[in-house]
Amino acid sequence: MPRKAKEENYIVKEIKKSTTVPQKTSIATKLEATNKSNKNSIESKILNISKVSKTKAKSDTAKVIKKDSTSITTKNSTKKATKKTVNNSNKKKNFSVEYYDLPNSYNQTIVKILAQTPTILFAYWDISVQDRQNLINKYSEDFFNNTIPFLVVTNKTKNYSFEVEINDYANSWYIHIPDSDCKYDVSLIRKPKNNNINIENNYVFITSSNDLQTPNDHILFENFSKSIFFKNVKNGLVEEKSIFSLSFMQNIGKIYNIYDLYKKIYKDELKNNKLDEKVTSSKMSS
Amino acid sequence: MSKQKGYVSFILHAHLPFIHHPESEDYLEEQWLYEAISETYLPLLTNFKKLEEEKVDFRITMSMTPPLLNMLDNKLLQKRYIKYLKKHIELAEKEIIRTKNNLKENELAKYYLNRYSNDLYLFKNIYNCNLINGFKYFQDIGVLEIITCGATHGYFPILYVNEKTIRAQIAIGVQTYEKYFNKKPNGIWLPECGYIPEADKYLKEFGIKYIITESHGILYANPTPIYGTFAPIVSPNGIIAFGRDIESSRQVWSSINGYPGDFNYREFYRDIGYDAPYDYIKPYIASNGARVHTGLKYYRITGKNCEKDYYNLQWAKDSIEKQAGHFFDSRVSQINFLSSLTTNPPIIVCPYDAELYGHWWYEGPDWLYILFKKIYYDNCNFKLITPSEYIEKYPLMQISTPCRSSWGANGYSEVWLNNTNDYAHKHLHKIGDRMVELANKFSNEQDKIKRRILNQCAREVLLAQSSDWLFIITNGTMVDYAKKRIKDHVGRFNKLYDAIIQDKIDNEFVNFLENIEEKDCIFPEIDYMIYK
Repeated sequence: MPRKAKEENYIVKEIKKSTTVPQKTSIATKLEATNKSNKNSIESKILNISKVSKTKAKSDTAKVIKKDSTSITTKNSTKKATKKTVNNSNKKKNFSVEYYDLPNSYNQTIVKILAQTPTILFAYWDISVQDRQNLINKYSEDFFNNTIPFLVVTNKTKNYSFEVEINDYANSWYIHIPDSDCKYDVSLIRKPKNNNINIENNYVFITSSNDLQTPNDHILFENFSKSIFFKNVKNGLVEEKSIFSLSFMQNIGKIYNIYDLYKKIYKDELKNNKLDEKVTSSKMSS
Repeated sequence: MSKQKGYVSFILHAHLPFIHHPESEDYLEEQWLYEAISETYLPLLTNFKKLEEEKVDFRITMSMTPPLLNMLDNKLLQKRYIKYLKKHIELAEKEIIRTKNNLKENELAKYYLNRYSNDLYLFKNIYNCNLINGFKYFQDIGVLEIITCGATHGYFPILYVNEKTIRAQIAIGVQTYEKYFNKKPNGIWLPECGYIPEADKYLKEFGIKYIITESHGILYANPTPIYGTFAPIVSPNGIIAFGRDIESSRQVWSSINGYPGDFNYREFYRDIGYDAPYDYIKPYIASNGARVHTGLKYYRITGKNCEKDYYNLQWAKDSIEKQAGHFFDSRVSQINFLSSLTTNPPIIVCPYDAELYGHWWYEGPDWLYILFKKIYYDNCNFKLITPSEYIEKYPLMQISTPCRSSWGANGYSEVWLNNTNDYAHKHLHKIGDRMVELANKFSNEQDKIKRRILNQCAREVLLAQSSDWLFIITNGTMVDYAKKRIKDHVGRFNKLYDAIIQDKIDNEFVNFLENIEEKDCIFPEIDYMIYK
């Protein structure tokens, strides 16, 4: 039986993947950030080379996985079990032998974002064959060679954006975001790499993602207002209560002191309750 | 008995992913169900029965997930469980002979023979091979509240980019519950306690009153709940949330000093599947010859990094008594302190995986039994209660939106979304989108074969969405199986999708459909129109 998510002591394999820690920039500084990224093109190339090798490593892994096609827990046992399954099925009922691999692409132009943690977004994207061709038709045969893909991350709650340079070997990315508990979206754009291509406004918009509200990561004492609302869930009546009496505040303080106490008591255990650092992308970029 | 100042609510989450392989008996993963029946579900039912016979008034809540209910109701799996028990009885009998010169091992071999024989008797003769009715009985007499769960334990915070897939998870969870328990569920166990406010409207639509969240689901709520996790809150959409208590949780869950680590308790990792001579044990391990757990274990935890001593049933009982007393005393003093700070009597919510009790912590069901008796008989300032009863007694609660959260490591989505399993999400999202497309395109399809295809599409989407596969990949054990399950369900869905979209349905395809209908036979009454 698999251990459950709540249980502790995770054993996780190391699989590396690129992540990006953005510098928080306002919309006004977006252009400046773009220029910087162009100036640092040599560094970018070096980084890209390392990312390419990681991507290749990943595809190699995928090939290995492709060979596996059964359920028994050890790799050595896999082949035997598969053979036996086929034999059994011949004896009993004609269950067809099935093999599937996951499609590389669904031929769609898409960006989707998910919140891994309150401060890390996961984005994946794709561009359809037709949209690729449209871009080539509109700009040039070498459109994809002469442009670089970027993800533009917009915090809609606090009204700022920043860009993350990605590459054409990746189709997903982990993005560190400065603020939790905010609404974000991410756009996929391409920018000229050199002077061989002329693009109006210096970027081409490809598509944008779903809106995503990221989780909150702290007690919202700063949001305390004078009164709070209670609802009787049986009859639906709502009543307002003032919480700014001394005794009320003392009680709230005592309750939340308990949680501070827990943090101290369970300090070591809370540390152990963390996922293996190797699998937690938030640790990868440090 | 002193006046009740507060309440304790035990919630056990009973769940296993849907594993059903009519094509072969070699899938070890199918044994998870049999292990859980013998080690968790039957012991819980037995202890509930003992409490009832001893007229001990107790309360407990259990979520029984739709995949688990479907498996418990599956005739093939019931048959195979009986076979599993018979094989274990045969092994225990052989063990009595093999261990005749070792008194301690021999006593334990006899204990296992008795235990597995009793399981067989209970399963066949008392429960008529159907444990669902066993649990339903305790719900009907008012000591057990059963709640539902997402259809296949799909993790809402990741699936919700297509809200219709969340709606379907909730709807089918509720429908499955109604099928087996003849009433609507009051509560739902959100898969992995994965809360998102966007699900509230669908929970409301299907009549769900309450959910359980991880502690910070309440503590980080907006506005801040003034009673912390010691009172439920209600979201602006009317969904009531109970938060997990940290202190009682750590006493059981903690890997450092949690109760299951007591040195007198049975050592999970020493099993005769690994310890007995290979040729002797071979007929009782994996068919490919790999050594695996058999369930017959002779050692106690003993200590850290030391030679293991034999398991002693009496010593284990002593530890159960001691720890039940400790838990009891801790709650008494916790409630004494809290009751002066809250308007309504505080509630201590104690949610655990059901399979922790018995499978991982062998003595867990007996610990619950002793604890419940102690709460009933001892002079005590608290009572056991179900969330529904608490809502009924104390309906006035603070309005606050719970925080997006889960009960996985670090409290958010890292377990189900990380470098090991993130490749899967685009496929899970895509087949969800395609399912909605099919439901709209083939609205109320009248052709019988097409309708079967569409219903099977819905089953494949749901099975692919199970959070278990992502978790297993992260956890690093049985990874091949989990990856294969994602590939199989996505692959089968896409094959069905292509056939119906292109209208290429020939005899060979119908054979394929029949094949996968038999393999992936969860939710026989499913109606794909739920995705419209």
